[in-house]
Amino acid sequence: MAIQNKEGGLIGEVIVRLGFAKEDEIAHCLSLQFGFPYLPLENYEVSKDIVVLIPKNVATHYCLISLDKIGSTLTVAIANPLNVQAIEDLEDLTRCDIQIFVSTPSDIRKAIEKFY
Amino acid sequence: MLNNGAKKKFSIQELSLKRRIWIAISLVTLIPLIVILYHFSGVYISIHAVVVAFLIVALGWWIIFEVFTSITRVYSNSKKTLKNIGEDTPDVANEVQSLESIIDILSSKMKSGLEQLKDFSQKTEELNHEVSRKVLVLSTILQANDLFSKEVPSREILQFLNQRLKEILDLKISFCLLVDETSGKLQLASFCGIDAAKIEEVAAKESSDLHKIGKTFVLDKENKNFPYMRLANELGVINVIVTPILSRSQQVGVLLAASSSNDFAFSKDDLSVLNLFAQNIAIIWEHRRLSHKVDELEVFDYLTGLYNEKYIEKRLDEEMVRSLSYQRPCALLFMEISNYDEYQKNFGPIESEKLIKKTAKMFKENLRPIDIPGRFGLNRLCAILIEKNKRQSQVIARELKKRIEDNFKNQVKLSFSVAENPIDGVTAKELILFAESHIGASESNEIS
Repeated sequence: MAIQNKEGGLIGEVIVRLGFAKEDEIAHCLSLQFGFPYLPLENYEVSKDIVVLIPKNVATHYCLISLDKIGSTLTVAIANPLNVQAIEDLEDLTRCDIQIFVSTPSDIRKAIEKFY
Repeated sequence: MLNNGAKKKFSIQELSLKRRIWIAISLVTLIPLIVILYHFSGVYISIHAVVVAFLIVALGWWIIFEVFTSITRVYSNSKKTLKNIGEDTPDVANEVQSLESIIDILSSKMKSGLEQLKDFSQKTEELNHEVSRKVLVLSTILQANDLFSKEVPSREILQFLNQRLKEILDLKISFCLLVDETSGKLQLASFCGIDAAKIEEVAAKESSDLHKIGKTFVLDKENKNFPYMRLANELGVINVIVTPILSRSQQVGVLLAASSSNDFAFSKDDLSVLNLFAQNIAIIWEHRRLSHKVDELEVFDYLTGLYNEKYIEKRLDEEMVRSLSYQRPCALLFMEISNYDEYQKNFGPIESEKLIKKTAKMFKENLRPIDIPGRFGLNRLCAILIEKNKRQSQVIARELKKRIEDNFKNQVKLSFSVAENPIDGVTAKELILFAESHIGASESNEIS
């Protein structure tokens, strides 16, 4: 907590940075604790049309990426599934219901770089 | 009894010496002659007539005596006058000749005195001119200080000083270049008797030379060793005086005055006047610099006590960096009193200011302590809503609208807009622009 106060960032990222846990372990914990499914994005292919539904700056800011859209439901992979404000913003932006998957921050960042 | 007029008429004191002598001689010679002629012609002359004739002759002699007495009195007075002015009496026995010499001495003295008086009056005139010039210089400085205290823009004060400098030195042109703090270059601050474009053209060419002139330089009939001859030629002048404007021992500009008169030389007084003006310009420059610094350091709005625009923009940028770091939103809320102009028209400027103050107070009281309220322009307030997204900010805006409008019994109409990082922009400028362009955009109660 002291390091988080000093350097900023999310507590999960601080724990990973200090080597106490791995990113996927944190994601698994979140998945288990809050019931969001875990989705590794390593070999996941996403359509460009789906990705651009969320502007890049929003995706980068909240560390998320859109994966699929079925009807009015948009599937999103996010590093922090408890970020209700981010979900609300996505609902307002896309006018869709949002379905959440948990993924690791580094996988999401890589996907953002790859698909935008 | 004779009155004063009659006395004066018959008095011999009023007559000239020549006339008095004539009267005296007539009395002394004619009366005895008439008496003798009567006596020899056999006419009996009584003893009374002889006595009267004798008295008339005595009167004649008395008049002669009086004439000579007055001459000797004049002589003795002249001698005294000569002694008083420290001159020796001429060594002549004859009083008349001596009197002539005294008159000669006195008239030559009077002549030299008159010449001295003429010199004095000329010097007095020069002194008066000098005094009036100094009074003009002093009154100019006082007027400049007065304008300064009335917070007249520094450009106008500099223009006033330039105009007066040209008049006092009786020259063709004068101008002042001051260092611009941001660019560090010399820029035209004020000018008189010359086109601004011409000075800017010349200043651009000579900027590097004028930047550090160090001391006063003069070009006139007595001083030909002038290092800025090209400047003089460009300006088309023959006589130039240029002095640095120094603030805390650093040159912050130049003051230049020039003329095209032939056979002209600047006086020491001209130099001191120019230096005095340069010192005052330096004070204005320093004041302007400090005012800018104070403005930069100021973070509160003078009327509402909320943060000012500059601070809000800076703080919003910082808050956006923080919100990105924690993957949190950050919103900027704008509130405008949309019927402010109408309110001002109906209730006047004092009541309108009170309205702004009251609204600002309510606005702040209805936000969380961690939110950052500010004033943005005349009738706009704003707040950085920490970790609030657009949806949450719109709720806050609706609450504020209801509470404040109800408090003013619907005399005040409010418009709102909300911009959120990241969805409406990623810099403070972008968020401000978004919020400003969307305020009051909708006629309904919708808050964009």
